[in-house]
Amino acid sequence: MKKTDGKKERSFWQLYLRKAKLSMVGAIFLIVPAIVFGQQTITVTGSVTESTGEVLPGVNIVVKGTTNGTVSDVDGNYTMSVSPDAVLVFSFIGYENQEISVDGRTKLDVFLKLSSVGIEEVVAIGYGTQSRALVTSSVSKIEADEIRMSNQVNPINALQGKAAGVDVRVTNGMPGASAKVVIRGGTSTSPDSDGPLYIVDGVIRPINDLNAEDIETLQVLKDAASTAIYGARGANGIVIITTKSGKSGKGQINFKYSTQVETIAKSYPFSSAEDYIWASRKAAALGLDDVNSAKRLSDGAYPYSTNNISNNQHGGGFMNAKHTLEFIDDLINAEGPGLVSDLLDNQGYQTMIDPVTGKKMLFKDNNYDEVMFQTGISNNYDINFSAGNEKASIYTGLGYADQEGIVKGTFYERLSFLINTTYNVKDNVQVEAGVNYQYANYNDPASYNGTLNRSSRLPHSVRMYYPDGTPAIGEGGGSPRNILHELYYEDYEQKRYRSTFRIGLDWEITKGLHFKPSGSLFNDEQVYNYFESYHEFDKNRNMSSSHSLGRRYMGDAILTLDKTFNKNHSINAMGGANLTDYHYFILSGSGKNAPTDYIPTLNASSTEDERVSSTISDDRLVSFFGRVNYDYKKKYLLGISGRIDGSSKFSETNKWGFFPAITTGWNVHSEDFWNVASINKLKLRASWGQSGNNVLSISDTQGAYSSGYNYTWIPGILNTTLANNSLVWETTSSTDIGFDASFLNDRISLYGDFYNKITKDRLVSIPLPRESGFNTIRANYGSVRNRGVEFELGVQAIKTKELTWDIAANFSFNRLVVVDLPDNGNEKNRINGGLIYDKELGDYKMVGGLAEGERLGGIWAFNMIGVYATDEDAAQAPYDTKVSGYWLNKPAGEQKVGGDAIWEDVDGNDIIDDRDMVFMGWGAPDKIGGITNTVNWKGFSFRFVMDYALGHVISNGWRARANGNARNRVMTLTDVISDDMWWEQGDQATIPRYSAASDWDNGKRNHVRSTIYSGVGPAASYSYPNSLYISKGDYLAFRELSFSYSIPSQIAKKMKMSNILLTAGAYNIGYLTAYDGLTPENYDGGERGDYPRPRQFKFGVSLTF
Amino acid sequence: MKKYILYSLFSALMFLNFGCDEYLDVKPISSITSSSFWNEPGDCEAYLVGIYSAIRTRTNTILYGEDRGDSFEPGQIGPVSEAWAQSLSAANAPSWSGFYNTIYHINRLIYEIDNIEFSNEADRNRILAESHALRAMVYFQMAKIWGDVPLVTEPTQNADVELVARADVNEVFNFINGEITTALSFFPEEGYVDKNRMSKPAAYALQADVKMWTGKVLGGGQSDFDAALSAIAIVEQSGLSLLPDFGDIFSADNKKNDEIIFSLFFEYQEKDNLYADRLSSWGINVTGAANYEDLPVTVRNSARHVYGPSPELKNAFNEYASDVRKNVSMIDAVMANGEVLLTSQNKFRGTVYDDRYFDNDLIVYRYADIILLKAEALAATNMVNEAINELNKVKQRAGVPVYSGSPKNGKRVVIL
Repeated sequence: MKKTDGKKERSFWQLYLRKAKLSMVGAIFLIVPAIVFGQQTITVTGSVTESTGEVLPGVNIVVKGTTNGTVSDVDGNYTMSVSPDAVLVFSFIGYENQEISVDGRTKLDVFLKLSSVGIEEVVAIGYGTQSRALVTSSVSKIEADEIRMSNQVNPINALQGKAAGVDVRVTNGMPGASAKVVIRGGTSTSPDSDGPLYIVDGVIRPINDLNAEDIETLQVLKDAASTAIYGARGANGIVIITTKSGKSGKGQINFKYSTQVETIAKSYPFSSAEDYIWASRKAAALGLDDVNSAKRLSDGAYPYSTNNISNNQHGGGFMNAKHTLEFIDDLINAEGPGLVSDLLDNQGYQTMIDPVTGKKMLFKDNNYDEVMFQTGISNNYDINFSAGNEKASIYTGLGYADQEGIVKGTFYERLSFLINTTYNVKDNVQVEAGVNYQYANYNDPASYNGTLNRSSRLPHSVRMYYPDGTPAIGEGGGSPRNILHELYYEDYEQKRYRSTFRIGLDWEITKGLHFKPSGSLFNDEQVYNYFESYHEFDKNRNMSSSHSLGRRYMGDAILTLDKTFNKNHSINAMGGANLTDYHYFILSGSGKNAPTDYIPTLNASSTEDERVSSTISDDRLVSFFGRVNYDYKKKYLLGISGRIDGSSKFSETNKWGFFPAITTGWNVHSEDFWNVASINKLKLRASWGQSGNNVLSISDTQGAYSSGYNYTWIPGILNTTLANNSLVWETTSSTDIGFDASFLNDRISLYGDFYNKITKDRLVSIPLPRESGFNTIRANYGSVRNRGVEFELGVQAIKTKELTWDIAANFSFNRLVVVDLPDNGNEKNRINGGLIYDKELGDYKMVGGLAEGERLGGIWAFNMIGVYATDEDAAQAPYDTKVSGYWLNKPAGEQKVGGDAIWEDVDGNDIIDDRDMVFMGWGAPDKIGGITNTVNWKGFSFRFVMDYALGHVISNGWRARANGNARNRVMTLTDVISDDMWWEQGDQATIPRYSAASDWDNGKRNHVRSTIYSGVGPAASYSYPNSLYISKGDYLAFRELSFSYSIPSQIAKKMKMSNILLTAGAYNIGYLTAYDGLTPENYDGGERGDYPRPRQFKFGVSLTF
Repeated sequence: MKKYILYSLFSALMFLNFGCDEYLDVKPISSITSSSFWNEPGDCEAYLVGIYSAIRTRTNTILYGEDRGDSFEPGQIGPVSEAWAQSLSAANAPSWSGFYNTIYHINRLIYEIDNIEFSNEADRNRILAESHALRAMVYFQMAKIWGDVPLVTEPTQNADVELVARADVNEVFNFINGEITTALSFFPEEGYVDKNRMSKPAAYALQADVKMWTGKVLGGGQSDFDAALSAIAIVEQSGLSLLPDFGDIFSADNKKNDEIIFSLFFEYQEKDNLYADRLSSWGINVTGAANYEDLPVTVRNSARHVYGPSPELKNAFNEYASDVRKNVSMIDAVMANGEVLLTSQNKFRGTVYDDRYFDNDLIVYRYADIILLKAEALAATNMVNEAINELNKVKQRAGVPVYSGSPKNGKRVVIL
């Protein structure tokens, strides 16, 4: 036996080598086989141009069903010998393939159409592709051009407004930051965290840091019928990204360069420093909130205080004080007239009259927002090479991007490399392999809350620099600090190294039967180092470091079968298995009290202050899956799929889950009876499927005992999570009914979907009785429903040889409703929420939180109906239970003064309490969409892109905090000098008085209100239930206005290039909105002052050789 | 050929299928699950340490103490609590979940320790003694705050939690007394092993405190006072003395001194945010003070002047100029022109490292408390002279005149 086996093997290799040689010979005679084997042939000539008339060199022309082919020359001309009945296939990157029968003709001029989101396309359906005409599930597709033109460093952001049902929430303007993506409303009661699963070339990995230039298509699988094939992780939708591969044709080198300028799109409406000082001193003198506030006028502690001359920090004296304000007399007395005239004449100081004493003061207006926000410059280089023939293909690209953010000190730098290759080892065996690598070096704001929310509103009279040239501290050692100080003393190093290695085989065992095993490794390595140099406000030299490694092995084995029986019955079947192993390791350490600033790493830390920690975790998934798609004459379509997933996260008995799906479709236009000429295509689809979610940690199923509860330096351990080993998979079942239609010979296309998605056995934390010792336990409980409609419309508004105008528009509407909650004895089993008075009902009722049958995310607020004009008016105010503790034990008549807010006493009981809140609206928009216009004329291309979101309200938290001086040291807005604000007895105002001491701390909470209810006010932090600051967030965003120009090929040719493309564009241009904050793109009911999304201007050039 | 491939594929799938369950059985590496804990005495000791940490967190608050009394006024920054404003309602009052979390941990330890083998029985007994005494202490705190509370004595096992009704306060105190008796029977040592942990004398101090509460508040009367006095007698034999300098008692560099019976451990980097940080000022808010250097402020914003001492509290100290306690307890931030910006606490000055950290121990029982408790018990027992004698020990140290009035009024004085 053994012997024969050995022989067999030898002969196999011999055979293999011989065949390989043969195929090499074949390759050499690639173009001439027709001549060699001399059939009757004719010579066909012609030219290939694109529909705009530009000639297309390098177009691949193949006789269908053979390897006989050629490419068009630099003038787009070709000549080839073929049989008279041959069919020629013309293909070129970025263009739709065209098949033309020769029919004995000898001259064939061909126009190729730019590929766009058309009807005749192929879409990914998970472990395979399918013709769009046969797809019966809900899939949105975005092409490479769309991603590239959107000018997003992070490719996912390019999806915003482009695909129906895909809500891309871009709330962070930091370069390279990732948007939150919510598909069809997510599956939970906090959809913001329901991100989809990203699959890049079959590998599960995060999408950020991917180079948009490397992406061929980006597709979103939205309904459970399409995501069921990804089973346990498909519930929140799947984003499938395919990177570029070598296209057949002559090798091409493409070089791209672009530069970009970005600026803050809308500035805070700050008043001048003079107005800040005027308003604050005037308010402090009144001392209405805090009897001590008058002392603040002269204690040097606040940015509106004088007596900075007695400062004893940083060497002492006025010039080293934190604030730049002083009485001129006092300053002359203390430091001499020379300094004062120098400050006024040479250092930009200004003077003003103190509204309190009438004395002359000196101060400096630092325009801090101009210090904090900068114009960011970016450079983006990309070079790629693509080639292919019938034997092999290659695509490789190298990209480098260096982008500055608009917040000083922030940047994002990325180096990316991609190589995708295929090689046909044998006629029926193709090997493919790819490596994808990204290195990202970036600097976020040191703390989003400290650096942005707080520091951005540092009063402008705060000192920026000390006389010794070093930056001044700002408020103090914590936050907000002067950003210059932060950047000067703090060093951050943040890096990500991500790489994917994959290899796969496609073996056509017999015709139509393919075996495709593949394996991949994804490595995600992140490095962080932080060091703060010694300075007088923090002498610690704090330092920390971490290094993490995430490693995911995936192995797939897939068998596919394509078969047509009796001409009319087509079957496409797939079966396979997957094994995923994720291992995560993080090592982190911190230290302090290093003897020197020279070493920013932990080796310099004092040994006793060093703390080190490491964590290892593992997660495994084993899956088996299969799918059968059947069609009869491409008219009646049926698909069935299923997946079995086993996850290590669940306990013994509940490890396995099954996720089935069924889809049907009917191409109505293929029926003989169809005679509606204007509707040339109509497909009706219906599907049902299930997918799952295993978002939980092993401690949820098995309980957790955690260390860190030390006492007297002895390590202590406590039981922190109660085990629930009866947890099972969360399951989302979705039903989708839709249609694909084309009108007027494909001039208009329309996709429509209605879906109903129920997520049950939700993995949620349910409350336990307080006496249990635990507040919550993870359990399968309750269900939520997302129901909605979505449409994608494509219109070729103008289609002539010279001029085309394409419009792509989409609309989606989603409604998230809680269906079932754990029984807790409350009406509708409401969790959280609170009692308010409903005027229509004439009674109290519970609102907010989570309740069966209700939408979630409602926002209620205290209704500010005016401002007391005088103290006498204010004496009539009802007792207010929502003032700070300082005023709580004052009786009704003594609580309020002129200038305080008038709150609507909704229930008329003469007490303002939480029950007096009124409904304002919803935190998240429920109607979203976008419109993309593309106009092509000769070599010009023009794009105008808009997107919109409707149905949400936003609480302008930063404005409330500024007017309420919520940190005692907050820059004033122009509100303080407007007639709308109360200042004097008798003022008829719409904005309550400004307070020099925090409105929150010891104040009346005219601006920064709060509620004891949870799930009733705005969900966002630093946003307040005060109707004054809540307005509608509906917006129409002007996202992109861009031009590109392709230089005529004759000129390009003279420059030895096949194509030169120039581009220019403006992005995030502005909004049409009633909201008065920086951006209406808020989804949690509040804007606190985050990293604003910048306005960008970009210029680029692309050269193809 | 095709057949072989299909066979091998099939067998590969089968192998996967059978190997899967084992493959999916991933043991957590960096975390401990319920089934992997409770194996050895060290687990019990570590868990008890965790319980102390939880008790420290629970005790480090003014919410259930001076917030509701008249000692505080709103500080420069605030905001004061609803408890201070005496406007607590069912909607805004704090929940007892934190207390029951601590109770759960103690219940868990007492439940699990039965199944653990100890080579040294004294170690088991010490853990049990401390656990029962701590459980008594936590329930005592709860009984003082809420009165009737559910008596939960078994650890929660899973999501099916049976609701326990509130027990009558007398029943709660029966339980507390039982716990103290149990604890006392388990302590292997008579004296202190570590004053930062429960000890036999500390358990007696707790017993005295509990008995005085039931004696006075719940009308337990003479038998309770007798019980308190006999517990105090034992505490007094544990080697305690009043420190001559009042300030030394609280100082961060004089912890576990001769006056301390039981204090909770604070130290820089383990736990350094004693509640005093709510009564002291952030430095930048008092930069105008001429005596800035003397103030217990923090450079970073860890201190926040939520409260200052009320006029009532200040006046109590102002009665005698010789009272040494005033300057130890509070300090004014005074501007050059004499204006007072605010009054800060001064008793817990913590330690200055790169910044000030409030790392004074949190004292649960000290000798002076026991002396005053004794005076109160004696007065209640009509042993007025003896009571005044005890009272004067404390007065003397405070630098205020001893009580020399008639014993008749003396009883009232002691009680007040």
